[in-house]
Amino acid sequence: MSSPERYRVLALSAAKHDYVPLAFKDHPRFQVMGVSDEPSAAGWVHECNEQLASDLGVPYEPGIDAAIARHRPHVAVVSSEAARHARLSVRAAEAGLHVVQDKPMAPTIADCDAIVEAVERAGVRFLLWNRNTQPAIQEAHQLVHAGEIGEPRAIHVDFFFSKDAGVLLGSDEPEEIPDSWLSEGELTVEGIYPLAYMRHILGLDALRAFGRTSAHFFRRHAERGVEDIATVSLEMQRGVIGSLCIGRIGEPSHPNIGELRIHVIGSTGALVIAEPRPEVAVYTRGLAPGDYRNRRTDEETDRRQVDLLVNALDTGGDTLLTARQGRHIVATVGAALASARAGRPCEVTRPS
Amino acid sequence: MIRLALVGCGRNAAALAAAAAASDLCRLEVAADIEARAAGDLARAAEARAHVGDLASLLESNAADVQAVIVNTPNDSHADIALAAIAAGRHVLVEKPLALSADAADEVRRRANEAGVRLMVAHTLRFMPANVQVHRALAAGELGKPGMLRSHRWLRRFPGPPGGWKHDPARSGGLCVHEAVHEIDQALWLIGERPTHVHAQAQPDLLQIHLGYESGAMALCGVATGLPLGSGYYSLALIGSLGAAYADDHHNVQLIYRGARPQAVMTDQRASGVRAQLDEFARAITEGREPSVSGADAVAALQIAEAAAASSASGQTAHLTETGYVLA
Repeated sequence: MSSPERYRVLALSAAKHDYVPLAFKDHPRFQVMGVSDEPSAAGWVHECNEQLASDLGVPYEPGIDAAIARHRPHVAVVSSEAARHARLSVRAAEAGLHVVQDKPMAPTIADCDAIVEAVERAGVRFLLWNRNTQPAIQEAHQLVHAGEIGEPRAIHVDFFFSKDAGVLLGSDEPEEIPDSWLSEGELTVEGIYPLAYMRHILGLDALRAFGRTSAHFFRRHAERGVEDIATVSLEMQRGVIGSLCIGRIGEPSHPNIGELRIHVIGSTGALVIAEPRPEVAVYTRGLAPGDYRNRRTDEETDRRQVDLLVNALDTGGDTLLTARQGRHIVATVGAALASARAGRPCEVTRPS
Repeated sequence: MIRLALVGCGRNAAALAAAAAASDLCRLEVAADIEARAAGDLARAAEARAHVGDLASLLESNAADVQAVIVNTPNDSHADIALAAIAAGRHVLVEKPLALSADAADEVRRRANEAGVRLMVAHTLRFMPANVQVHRALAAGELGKPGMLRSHRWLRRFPGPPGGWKHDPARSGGLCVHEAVHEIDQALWLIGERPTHVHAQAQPDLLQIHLGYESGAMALCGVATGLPLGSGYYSLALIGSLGAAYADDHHNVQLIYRGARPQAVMTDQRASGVRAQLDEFARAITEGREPSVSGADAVAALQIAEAAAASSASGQTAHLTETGYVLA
């Protein structure tokens, strides 16, 4: 069957990150038809959806089945709250739509398995949104796969966001962050990015994890028992040693977005890659403390991901991060969190 | 001026001699080695006297000229030479590791205390200028409570022919004892508490040590000793509750344009670190106080290094106890 000239896209909720559906705007191979969601979604979610629809210049139509019937989309873009990811993605796959989904893949392995099963049964493509199209990550991937550093032996990723998340631990100031902004845990939610780097750069999965987690910075994280920093040691395929440091480490901890860095050691060489680079530093008067001094020179990261999706849809090949790969990342995060609770390494579960 | 004898004129000896030459607090009097050429070469370069032979013969022939001994020999001889120097009433600066085991190191520490001489161990990372700034920021409260320490240290392949002592874990102590005591001591220094958990993964020239602490803090330290080219790489990030400090080569690389392409050049901090370390040793002797890196510090680092070695060998996590560790 020939590929359509333009794939029709339906955005299913924009509760979290509008940049995922917005990456499809004005793309020559995609046409965003509308925004839809479950009518039962929270009021603030409907407001986000209306805003996205306005930004895209398309209608917002609560009621997913009706929207699918009306627009006959090829692709669903799901960026709801994480708790609804699996329900919406499975529903889209069962309707025969390819799925592009925001992170984290789902809160539980069972939810991930449901997505994998639905996607594979329907024979549709699934892309878990990621940061692997950053130029530095692409370059690392190419260098490693070209054999520039020999056989990979270790990979270490530092992934620190210099962002605040409410009132600091130990402070009695009133909390101003709304509940809808609260993280379920930094490793839990953001762990996909560094783990996806590892998957992309080396093409290897983690087998066993040892993790440590702590609510070190923010009062709400401590109250809710979720981590804002974590360290993970990984035993990977082919005996490769992996590690990951992740944290939402507070606004004053870095002048820019934070250290996002990858160290790869090979048998004949090594790489140190900073994900945000190259970047341009811009210094002005009146810059607020939370404003980043450095600006990335690459503005095509999201668009590049969509370009790669086109190829997967046209050829029936794999996306940049498939449902199975996403499921394995969630399982790796789960093993690290279980390890942190148990104080011993835990196996990364494989699908039964 | 503290009068020094340097025992072991192999690798690191030139850096130590240069540090002594630059110091106003100490002077290298004797360069000793069991190999005449090594002793002679270093003595000439350092304008010191050469001595060929062991410590006993050195002290016999140069007794009046030596107040303190720097032990820079292969790891498996550190403890014995240190004990001999202590028994002769000399202050001792010992290259790390102090000994191949924590128990043996503790014996050296105990003997030094009994003899009333100063014992210092060369955990040089504490003296590297970048790390000094990180520690200073932490001590001043600028970073708040330490939460995460992340470090990477890459070295060129161990020099020397296969079969040399560094290639023999029975003589070097293996990667955990030979190299990672640096990282472990650094973590003890910066986090400021003893870890409760140690989880390690190792290959012949790769090591990763993961430390967990009662306070919730954590440290993840990587060491690679098989880098085929270059002069090494170092990176440290210390994340605290109020701020963070970063000390690393990746931010501080200089570029030199040579031929058709730019090349990275790293400004070496090691020389000033070694000198600061030697000055601290001399000051501790002069002031009659414990050096900032004590025998007890070295024993603590070796206890954790032993737990790390057991963890990497077993694939289990070492849970530290007061006297040792339990694998689980």
